[in-house]
Amino acid sequence: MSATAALRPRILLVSLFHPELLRGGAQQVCYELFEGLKAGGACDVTLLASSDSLYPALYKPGARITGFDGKLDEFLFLMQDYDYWWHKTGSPQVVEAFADFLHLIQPDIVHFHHFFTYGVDMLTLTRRVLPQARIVFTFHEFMSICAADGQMVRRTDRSLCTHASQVRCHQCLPDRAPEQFLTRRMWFQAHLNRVDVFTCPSRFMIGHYVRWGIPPGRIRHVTNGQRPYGTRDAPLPGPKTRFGFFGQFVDNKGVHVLLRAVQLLRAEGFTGFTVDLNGDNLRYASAPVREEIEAFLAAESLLPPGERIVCWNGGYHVDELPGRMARVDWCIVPSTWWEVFGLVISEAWMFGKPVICSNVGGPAERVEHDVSGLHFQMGDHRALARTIRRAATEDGLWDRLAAGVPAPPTRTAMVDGFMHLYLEPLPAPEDLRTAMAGERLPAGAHARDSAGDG
Amino acid sequence: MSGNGEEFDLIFGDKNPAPGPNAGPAPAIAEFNEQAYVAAYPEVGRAVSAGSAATPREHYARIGRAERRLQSAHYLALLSGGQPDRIDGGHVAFNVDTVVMGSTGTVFLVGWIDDRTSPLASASVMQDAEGWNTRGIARCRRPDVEELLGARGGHAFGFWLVHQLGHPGTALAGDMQGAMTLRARLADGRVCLANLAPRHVPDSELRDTIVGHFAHLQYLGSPQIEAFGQLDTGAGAAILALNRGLSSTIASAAHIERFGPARARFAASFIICLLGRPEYFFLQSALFATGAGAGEIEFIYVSNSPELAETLQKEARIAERVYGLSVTLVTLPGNAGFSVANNAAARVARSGRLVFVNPDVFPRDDGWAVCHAHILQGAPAEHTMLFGAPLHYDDGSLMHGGMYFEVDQGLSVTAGGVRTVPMIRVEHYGKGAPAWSDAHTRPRPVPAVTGAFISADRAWFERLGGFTGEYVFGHYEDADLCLKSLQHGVPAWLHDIRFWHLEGKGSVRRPAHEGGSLVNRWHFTRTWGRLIEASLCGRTPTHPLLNGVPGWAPLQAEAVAATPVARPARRTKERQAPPVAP
Repeated sequence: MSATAALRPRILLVSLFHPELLRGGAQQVCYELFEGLKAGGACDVTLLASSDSLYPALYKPGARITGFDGKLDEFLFLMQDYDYWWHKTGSPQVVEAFADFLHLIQPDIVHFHHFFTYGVDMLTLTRRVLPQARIVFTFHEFMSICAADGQMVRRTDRSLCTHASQVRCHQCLPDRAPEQFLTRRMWFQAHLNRVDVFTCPSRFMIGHYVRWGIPPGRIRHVTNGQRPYGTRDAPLPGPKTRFGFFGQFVDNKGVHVLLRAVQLLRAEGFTGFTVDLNGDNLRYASAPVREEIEAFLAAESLLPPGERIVCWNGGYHVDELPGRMARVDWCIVPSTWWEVFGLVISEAWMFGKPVICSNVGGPAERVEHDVSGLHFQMGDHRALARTIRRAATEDGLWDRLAAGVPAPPTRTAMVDGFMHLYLEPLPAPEDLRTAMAGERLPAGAHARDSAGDG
Repeated sequence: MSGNGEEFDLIFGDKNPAPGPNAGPAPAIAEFNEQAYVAAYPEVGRAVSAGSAATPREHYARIGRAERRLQSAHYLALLSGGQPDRIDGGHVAFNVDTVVMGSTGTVFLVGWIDDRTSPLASASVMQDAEGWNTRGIARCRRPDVEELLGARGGHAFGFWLVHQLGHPGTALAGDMQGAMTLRARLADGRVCLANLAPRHVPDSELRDTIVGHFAHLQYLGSPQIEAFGQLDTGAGAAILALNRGLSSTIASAAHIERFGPARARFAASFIICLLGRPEYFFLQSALFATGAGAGEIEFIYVSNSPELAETLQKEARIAERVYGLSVTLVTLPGNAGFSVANNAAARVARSGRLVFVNPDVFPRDDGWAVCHAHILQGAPAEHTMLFGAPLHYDDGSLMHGGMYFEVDQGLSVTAGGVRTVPMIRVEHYGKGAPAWSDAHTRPRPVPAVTGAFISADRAWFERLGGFTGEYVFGHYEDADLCLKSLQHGVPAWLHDIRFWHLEGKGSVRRPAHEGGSLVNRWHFTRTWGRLIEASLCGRTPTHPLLNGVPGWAPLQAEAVAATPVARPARRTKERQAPPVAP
């Protein structure tokens, strides 16, 4: 990176999807960063967001990159011929278009948010086209490590996975031979090796990636942040017995664990509480989980209104969040996977709500048990039931935990963290490497912060 | 053949049409048998040796037919073995189940015959009064026929033959659409006739059909051992000839396309033969591109899968842009097999060093190219004329540290006696050895190295004639190349550049490939069996070129490039003393 670039760097953000076309955490965070960098005025920033066949009308004949809805500095990367196993495009024209775009924009920093939909080999192309540019890559989950949707949840028993290996991965995806997971890892590592510095929004993720082969010196923690869209209003007087869930109704978000806890409490005769479900996409849940949730909600709807505990409010937009949050005292995050960050935790904190969460991953890292919220054993509906009962009945608990709720990390904190990373001198990179069987890679590396949680 | 006793067409020997009282003289039957023709006319063999005749068949088509040489008493005696045809010898139950004919005149015929009283001796495929005779009839077990005939196991009723009709381009081969008849002759002179309705297919389909059929035959005894015996009848040679002609035709139509930086010369040419799996193209591009010195190397991908042509062309364009590698794509219009495809790729190489690499081989270290270059620079020339490298499984253990040979002495037991059938088996040194062991990875001469990685001096490779083109699809051609080199005074070496080898994952394997492998094992045994039994058998062969060779210390760069794998510390815990009785 040149000296003049350090004065006013040109930054290209490459994002999977655009949040206006498809909602999702990674694209939302990337867009927050884009807006934050623009607002800061210290750099020239361009956003290239991928799009797929969800909006076929956006595909213009012969074009692979286009503008987006007249927005300045925002472009769409129109994907074609994407290979979902190797994560690469099979279209030479798409590769050419990206190379031409890099030549045209001439960024000093290229910051990739994920590789999904455009391909991990674009990292190598970027290094080849722009040998002097700094390449930053943010992990939003574990897709590099885990071929099972990047969740690191074992398909054999739904337990959390701690590390990948040829045989373990083959157990999750038995149609794939063990050797294929070695080639998959080598393929990803060959391209990720072109990156100067990696970031994760949670510290625990760093351990996973270091065990997988990323040198500790090349991966940092930079928090996700967002602009404020809520305030802490004075709590309503009286008992704090209103619980809320916010998020997708997919298996890993654990709605079914919450409903089982409600069933258990009702069976025990404890009914003095309510649960608001806010979210949708139940169609993406597995058939057993979907059927369980649907059966619960159907049975609930048959009860007299006064006996209903659970109310499903449907999906919501960020603008509706103040109204939804006003109806609850606690936010429950019952995720059954690592939940790398938990944007909903930040949103709960924005509105001053203590969080009850699974005791793993990002939620466990961010929510301090019995200080800013409560943990329960992941996936254990009995433990969640006990926690709900305690939260609803223990005098002074809500007040104490609400007082301990921190301010959520801000967009400014995130922007500052990344700007620091964009501009600071970096040591000579150590190569990623594929461990031989029986070899030990550096484990348990300490996370280096570029920005705190605010 | 369905085996229900109703669908097959029985033609009995005594139903041969006899000349009627008003019929003229029966046209003389001319049956060409190559061995009998050469035996009857010794000048034919000399003409072939001298090059004035391409083959005995060609000689017959050009000269012998006009001279009615197949009618001579001497020839007919040789043809029949002194036993004249009998047309009144009683019923012979037989059937032709399948007849397939390739585009250049090779016929594949499958049937069965109840020849328990006198064995089937020869068969002629006739067109009008002229036919092509072979004694190369392979036999197999047919449980369905045993059931049909109520015969208990003990006789191989099935037969199949592969036979080239005429000489390509001559009358019979050029007119294969006419009516055909099979004239099967038993040792006692009985003759059976069956009308044939061949299914005409391209030669590639014919080859796949034959070896696919061969892979699943049943025998009265060990399938491998008995299969060898059946290939010895002449069927094996016919398959090899068909494959050789087909592969040459495919290779001659290769399409060459270059991508990436163009240079007159490179330090080395990596040649990779693809079959069925396009992803290995971009995987290798990504992983080989990372090493220092990779820019000095050209990559030649030769595809035996024409259906992948468009995909590979796209991937080559992507690789050109993303990795900047110099890539040549050799697209073949069919599957020419490993040997011929690699030879075709070698011809378009732009370096004096050919490195044949399987698509499922990947570098373990970024220093692979530097390491390879240092070996070429530092080792004695005779140590690098042809060498391989240690290959590792995905679990880190050793897959290959050189190859050696064993001889399986199979026993073929028939009513006529017990016969020993030697079969060469190729084994790998150190399969499964831990990564920290150098027992099998140190530089040394070895009987052979796997074709998954062979680095060869181009001039030497060409002097050896390249890979032998007769091997069907793949297997054994690598050991064959190494033994050709050894026979010419230079043993294969192993040098320590370490690679992953995801053995068997780099291509799509079909039943036909199993049959091809068996044919190749037979061919390899017949070609090299004597040499191997004499001096190359076992882990420590006695061949003088493999013994008493001073070791060669790798250069410093090689030692640096290869990632050392630490041997785990031995357990220090003292063995517990046995309990002492009170």
